[in-house]
Amino acid sequence: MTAVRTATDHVMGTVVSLAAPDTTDPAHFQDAATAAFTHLHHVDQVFSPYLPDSPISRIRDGRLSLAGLVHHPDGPQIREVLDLCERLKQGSGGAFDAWAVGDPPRFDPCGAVKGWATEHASALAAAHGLPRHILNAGGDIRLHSGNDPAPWRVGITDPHHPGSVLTVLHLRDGAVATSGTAERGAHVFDPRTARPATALAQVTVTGPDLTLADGYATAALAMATDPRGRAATHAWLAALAARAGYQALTIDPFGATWHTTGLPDLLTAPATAMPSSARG
Amino acid sequence: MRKTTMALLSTSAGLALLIGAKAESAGAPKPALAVTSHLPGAPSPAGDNPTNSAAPATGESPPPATTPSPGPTTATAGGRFTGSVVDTPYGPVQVQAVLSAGRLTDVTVLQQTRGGHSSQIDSYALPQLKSEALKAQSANIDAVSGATYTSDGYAQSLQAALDAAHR
Repeated sequence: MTAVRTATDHVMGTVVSLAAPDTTDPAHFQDAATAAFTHLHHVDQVFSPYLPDSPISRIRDGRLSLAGLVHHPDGPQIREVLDLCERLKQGSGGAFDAWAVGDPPRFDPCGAVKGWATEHASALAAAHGLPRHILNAGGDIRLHSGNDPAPWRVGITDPHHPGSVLTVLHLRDGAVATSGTAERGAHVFDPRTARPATALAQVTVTGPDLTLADGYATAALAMATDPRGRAATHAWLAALAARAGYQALTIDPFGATWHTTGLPDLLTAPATAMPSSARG
Repeated sequence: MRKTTMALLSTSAGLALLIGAKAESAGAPKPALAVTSHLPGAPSPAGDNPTNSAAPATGESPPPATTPSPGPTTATAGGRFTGSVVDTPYGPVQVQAVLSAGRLTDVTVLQQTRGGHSSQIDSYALPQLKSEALKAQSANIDAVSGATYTSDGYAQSLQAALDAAHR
């Protein structure tokens, strides 16, 4: 574990943790943390379906039309998220559908917003003087390493052994997103069946961009509700790895694990990296 | 014939004495066991190290005062961070993270449901991942990715233990 300084904030119904090397200037660190957390709070205000007057709540009940977004101050951001939701819906064959979340189905882009917002918040932290940092939004992670060759080490929780990790990924730059049923129960619904997603207990997706990694992980968990869900989901994740380079690790309700062929490459530290212990 | 029986009896008595003597000298671990059995119920003070108390089990003499212990260091946080008991779909669970000089050195599940899902896991896990998991128990980890915890759930998360170590 690299010696780091950390900051945490409660936002979007979870806790966000920012860490950077402890050699970082404290004022720089504070500035970057403020920039990242402020962005997340703003996104929360705009996209929360729990705030009755948030733009998303007003889109949901028809008070704000999509045409009206042109004149809305947050219009460009909302449009970006709507486009993202559409791409994820197409890419997942309808398994991820922000317009049909829950039972009864309604519009809720939350499954796409957190990863998207955290991706942007991490970019803000980098722009505010943190070339090497790790931003963890309630279990979804975006990390940068700057010029430091040492990777960050990201543990993946074991949903069947709370407090334990299943494995550890070594990453210099990129994202790790995990969707699962361990923390909040079966909260992901397959819009095609309106059933809770339970055929897989947890899906982790890692790749360059947290917006996509988070969307893919959520979509995969939803996809697994199909009667042939597990096999179909794994085929989809394998194709995704081949096409886009996003690697995946799943664990089912009985503890069986599965991973894409490229995942093992991330389980050991790159040869250029110094062992953590040698750096104290 | 009778002589032989007597001899056997006295041998048994001798063995009993020897065992008794062993049992006497092996009495030391008892306090350690008692400490361990209290752990799940009561919060243990930071820096508590029951494994050191068990040291006499491996030797004839009490442990020297210089037995290495993960005592507090000036640079970074250490000690045991015990979470509260959480009800999970797999039964009540309580987690304790052990940090030494700011490093996560161990994670112990203090309460976990017996049987059910938890006991089935290991036979299914891929060997490669399993060995990684074992290493990770004492590995250095910078962050933890998992199903999104709520604000309340964060307090029991591994990430919270990591963050606490750096405050």
